[in-house]
Amino acid sequence: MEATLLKGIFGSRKAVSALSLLAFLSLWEVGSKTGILSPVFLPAPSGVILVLLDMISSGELWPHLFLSLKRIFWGMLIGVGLGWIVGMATGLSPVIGAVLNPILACLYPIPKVAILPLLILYLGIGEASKVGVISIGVFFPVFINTRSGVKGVDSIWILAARSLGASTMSIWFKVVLPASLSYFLSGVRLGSGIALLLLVTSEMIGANSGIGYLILSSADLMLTDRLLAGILITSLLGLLFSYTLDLLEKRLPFN
Amino acid sequence: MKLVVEGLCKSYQRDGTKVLVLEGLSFEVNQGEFVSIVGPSGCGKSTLLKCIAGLEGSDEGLVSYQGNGDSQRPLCSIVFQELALFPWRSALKNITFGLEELRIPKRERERIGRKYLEMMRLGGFESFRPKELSGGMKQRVAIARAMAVEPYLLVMDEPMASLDAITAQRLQMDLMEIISQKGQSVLYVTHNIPEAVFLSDRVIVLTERPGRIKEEVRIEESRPRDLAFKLSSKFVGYLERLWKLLS
Repeated sequence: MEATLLKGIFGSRKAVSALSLLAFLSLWEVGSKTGILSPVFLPAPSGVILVLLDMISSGELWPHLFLSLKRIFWGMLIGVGLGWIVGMATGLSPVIGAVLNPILACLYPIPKVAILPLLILYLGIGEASKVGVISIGVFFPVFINTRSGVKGVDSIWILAARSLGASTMSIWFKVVLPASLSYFLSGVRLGSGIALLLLVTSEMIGANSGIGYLILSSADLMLTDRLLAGILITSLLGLLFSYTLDLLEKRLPFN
Repeated sequence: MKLVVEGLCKSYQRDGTKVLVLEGLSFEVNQGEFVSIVGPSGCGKSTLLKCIAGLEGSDEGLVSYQGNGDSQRPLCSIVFQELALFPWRSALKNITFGLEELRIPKRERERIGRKYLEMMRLGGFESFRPKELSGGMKQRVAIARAMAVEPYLLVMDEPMASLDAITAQRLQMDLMEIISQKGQSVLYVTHNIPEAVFLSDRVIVLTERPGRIKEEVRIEESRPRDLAFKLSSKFVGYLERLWKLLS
């Protein structure tokens, strides 16, 4: 009886994953409650959740979350859009590639956070510099992935399309675009991680709103439970992006 | 319309030296005729096809289509040796790709697409994607896609090279029937001598590089042909003649 029960539980990988997460949280909870882990530095997960629920019900969380989502939305939109356009252009046209590739190759290795003070100088401390740094961070992985996707398009497809009378525009949009879409999406996936990182960083430098600000201001006041609640939100945001991209990828005609 | 190739020469630059691939090829493919080109590997068959399809230019000579015809119809379309189906499109959408380029309305495109799917005995597989189809079925979709634009000349580059013997045999039989019924002009490149003899009105034998025409063999047997022809002594006679030319 017991053996079959164990087998039933461990036979399903999803159940094992859920149990593993549950065990980790329980250990943490017990550790905090018994005082093995200092509640000041590492409050119990139940405490973190309670603080989060409190922030939700009091309405304190929403302006921060809303502003963060707005920044990341515009940053992703601009970064992904530009990355895709420049990636397609440099991949399709050797001339455009020759013009832009060396410049972009020089800019690529710069840690994007290093550009933030410059952007603040140019665009002010408001929304524009935050959206700007996220855009730049997202731009590079999308651009690089799209370019290699475009360059890797099997030439037999292009020959086939041409032999069926396709115009250059048709080849771009009906062959190269769908053929490079999975590369593009993995660029977006990489970019979404970078976007989250830059969002939080930029909100820690001269901001009075957003999840990053919430985390930093909680740390200043030694409110570790609030701080961890902020981190939990970033984790949930990351999961949400990755889940959305999974859905998109599954809907791709390739799969 | 008939295809006329006159004095076609083509060379490539390789490490600064010129390598001649095709040397003075001249031949015709008349309306409704099935012409095969056979020759040793590297005799420039694929290059010849690309020149004919206008995918590559020639150094010297002329490729032209002569006669009166509807200028809306494409001159030529190709069935490639490798798999050139678009994996992100369903079987039906692959077939209608060329029709989209001809700006045929959607409903009409789908009607034509279905007709060609049925013709290639793939009725019911409209929504299947290439990776869900077997090798033989994929090549059938590729043939349907090239034929759906109703080209004056259908060019086929070893379309059965990657198929097993049984699948290839079935496809040969169906192709024979469909091509003969439609009166489609075909230029067919192959390594497979029995296939060339079975399908063609004429077989053009090329020499080794640079490719020149060694001889042209007319297969005197009316189409459509059936298995009986393949088992006849006449068929074996043609095989013997071609093998001698190629050895």
